[in-house]
Amino acid sequence: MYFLLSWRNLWRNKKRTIIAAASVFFAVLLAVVMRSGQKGSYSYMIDSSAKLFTGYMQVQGKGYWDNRSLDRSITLKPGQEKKIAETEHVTAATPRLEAFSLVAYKTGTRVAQIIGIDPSLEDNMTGLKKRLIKGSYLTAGSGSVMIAQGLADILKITTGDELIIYGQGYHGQIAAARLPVTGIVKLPFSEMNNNMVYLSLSEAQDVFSAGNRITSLAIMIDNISNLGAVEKKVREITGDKFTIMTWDEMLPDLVQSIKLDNATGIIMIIILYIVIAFGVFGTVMMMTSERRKEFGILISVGMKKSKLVLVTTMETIFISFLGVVAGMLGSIPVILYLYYNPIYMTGDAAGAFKTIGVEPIMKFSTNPEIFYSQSFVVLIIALATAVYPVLFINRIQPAKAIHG
Amino acid sequence: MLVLLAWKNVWRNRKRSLIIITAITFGLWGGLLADAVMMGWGESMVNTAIDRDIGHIQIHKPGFTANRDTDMYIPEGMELIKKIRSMPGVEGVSGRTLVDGMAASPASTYGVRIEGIDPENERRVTDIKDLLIKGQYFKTKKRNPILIGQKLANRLNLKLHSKIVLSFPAMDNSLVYGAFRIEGIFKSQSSAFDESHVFVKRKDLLRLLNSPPIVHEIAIRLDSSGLVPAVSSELKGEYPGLSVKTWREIAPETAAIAGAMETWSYVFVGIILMALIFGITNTMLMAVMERTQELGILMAVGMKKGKVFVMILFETIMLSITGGVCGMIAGAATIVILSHRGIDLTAFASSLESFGASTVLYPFLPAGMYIALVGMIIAAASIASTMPAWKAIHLKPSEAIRTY
Repeated sequence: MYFLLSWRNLWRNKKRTIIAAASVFFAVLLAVVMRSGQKGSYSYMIDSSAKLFTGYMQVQGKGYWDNRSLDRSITLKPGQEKKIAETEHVTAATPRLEAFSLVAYKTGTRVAQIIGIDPSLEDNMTGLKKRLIKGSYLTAGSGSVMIAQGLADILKITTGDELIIYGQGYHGQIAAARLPVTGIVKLPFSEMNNNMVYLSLSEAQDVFSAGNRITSLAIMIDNISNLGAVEKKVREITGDKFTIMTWDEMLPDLVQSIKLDNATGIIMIIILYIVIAFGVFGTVMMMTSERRKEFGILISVGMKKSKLVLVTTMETIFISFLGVVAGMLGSIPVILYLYYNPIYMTGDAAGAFKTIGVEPIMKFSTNPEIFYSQSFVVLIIALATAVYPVLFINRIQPAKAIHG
Repeated sequence: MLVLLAWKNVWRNRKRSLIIITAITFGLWGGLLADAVMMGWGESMVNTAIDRDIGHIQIHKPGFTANRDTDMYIPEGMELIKKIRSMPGVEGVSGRTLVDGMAASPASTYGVRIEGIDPENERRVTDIKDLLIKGQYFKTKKRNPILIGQKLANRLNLKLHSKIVLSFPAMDNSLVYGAFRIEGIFKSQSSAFDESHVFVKRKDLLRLLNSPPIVHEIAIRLDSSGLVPAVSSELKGEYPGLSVKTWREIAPETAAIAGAMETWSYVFVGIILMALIFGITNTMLMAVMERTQELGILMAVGMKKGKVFVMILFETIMLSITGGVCGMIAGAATIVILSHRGIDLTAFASSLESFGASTVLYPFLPAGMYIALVGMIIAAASIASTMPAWKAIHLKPSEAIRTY
């Protein structure tokens, strides 16, 4: 009966209902856009960093990550690597053998990070081939090296010259080789660009006397939300002989900066909630005082204040749900649009992003959790405004109210 | 006349006006605070990098950053340091002798950048001293003390007072070895920095290099970051043969993040302004509905529609100016309080490892932004009022006067 009464009240004055619901609708929309932008920029940062080098996870020897010794290298059984690469959601898996060693050309000597790669798999994951600026890209099994541009400049070496590698191999054996440079790549960060020397995996294993060992298998996946599932599958394939490092363990700085940034983001969204709350509250207040006369008449003809409170509260609940559901549905196309048409940055920021090799865009996240959580918060805010009509009705003096 | 009418209308219904003023106050307060939080956050990220090792301005011999050759030192560097130290606005100047080499322990080896510094002068430019988590800052009288990062210590399995062997190319490109004793271990926000930079006394390094006093890098700290453009252009003019770079050019990735923050802050402030526009529009729409009868009578007794439109616009602008002033006072007060007390971000992010001052955010806002935001809020409120005003003049007076 009261349910029906409040339902009819809503549609008796459609305009009023729509305005009130619209204020909730826009609140949901803006909260979703804001949070989706924040979350989207984090996953974009993670994805870009993972793609640059580490991948989302790596299979490594136990203790390798901490001391980077070739002695902690591993051998994957034939088939294991293939199985991992074929696991659902895995987009690329690439084996690497990494070691620090001295490199020299003529009178120049440097410390470099030597990395043995499977050229085509590495390109699948990090897009290394695109970064080639001179010569040709490494081929599998070739006995040549590809060197980062910064390091090449330091050593004053170019394609056709021979690079000397001198360092420590597996189990302390001496690693020494003289290999022709066939390609030069330009890497985005100067730490990488001044340090990297790429060899084919088999050549690196030869130089460092590492048999068929690798130091890591880097794995790229399609979406960060599948990380846990993929990790479990990979663990099943490899057994517990190896360590599986995920991006957050390998990139602790990124995790920290995202956490810090997220803390700032939470402050921002709290500010937004406060502004939203006042928008919705203002609408509800105006709506209630507009109905002053109506309430006065109802009370004078004998309706109990408690019943009237019940009716108006139900109305607020209806309006809140109406607005929230509409807001959720309405924000889907907006977010999808922003997801497919990310905002391009301009000016200094864009230039700075390009220098580190990342597209200067602001990504939005389509994670459904954002829709639920933001809608929920706005719903709570909207429902809280129901307190005002209750207070208003309790204070109303029908004799005065009916005279407007 | 119309202005007076609008002004009287504003105060005739105090409650309604107060709701709108409060909404605008909170909107502006939120906009100002959000912007200040973003600004403070961007500044704190930049400062972390500046304080750690970059300084505000760096001077090198042209080509040094690309080649990093030991013989590319700054000509007459020591005299230059003295001259720069006496420039106005300069707080500290540190000359650094830099070589890239390998750090070895019995456990492993790792490529590092060795920075030969004068401890007293370095302290005035960067905060390595404050980042020490173990040991002391060059207090010992013994030969060859070294400060290393915690990440490197873990990687090489080293403890305080352990011995570490550095090997690097000398001036004639022959390889030299030097044994150092770990006097302190530092931990900065960047583990990449911690694992790849070690600090030794310049005179120890020069002795090993068998070199006269040379510096490769002069890092300058200014009294405030606002002086960077002026001082750097002065230095550029005075020393055309040297490469003078600001922190923006040296750390493009930090500049990229700071730039992204700035773009994001505009998006966020935009979202908050939108929330405010919707809030005000809805409240004003409700207000127009509440005043249907009143507006109908005004038009029935002969007030021109254009004047009604302008009257409602005036009302909104008066409300928004009042709200704008209140919001600015409230916002400025909050920002001033928070800029002294700081916001501890650990309260908003669980499991956020605390690393020094960088988890505390100090919001700040340049004076120009206050004016810009107040202008934007008033513009937003005026836009918000056009739809209600439009609705108002489309009321049919004959029906409106009978609406209760």
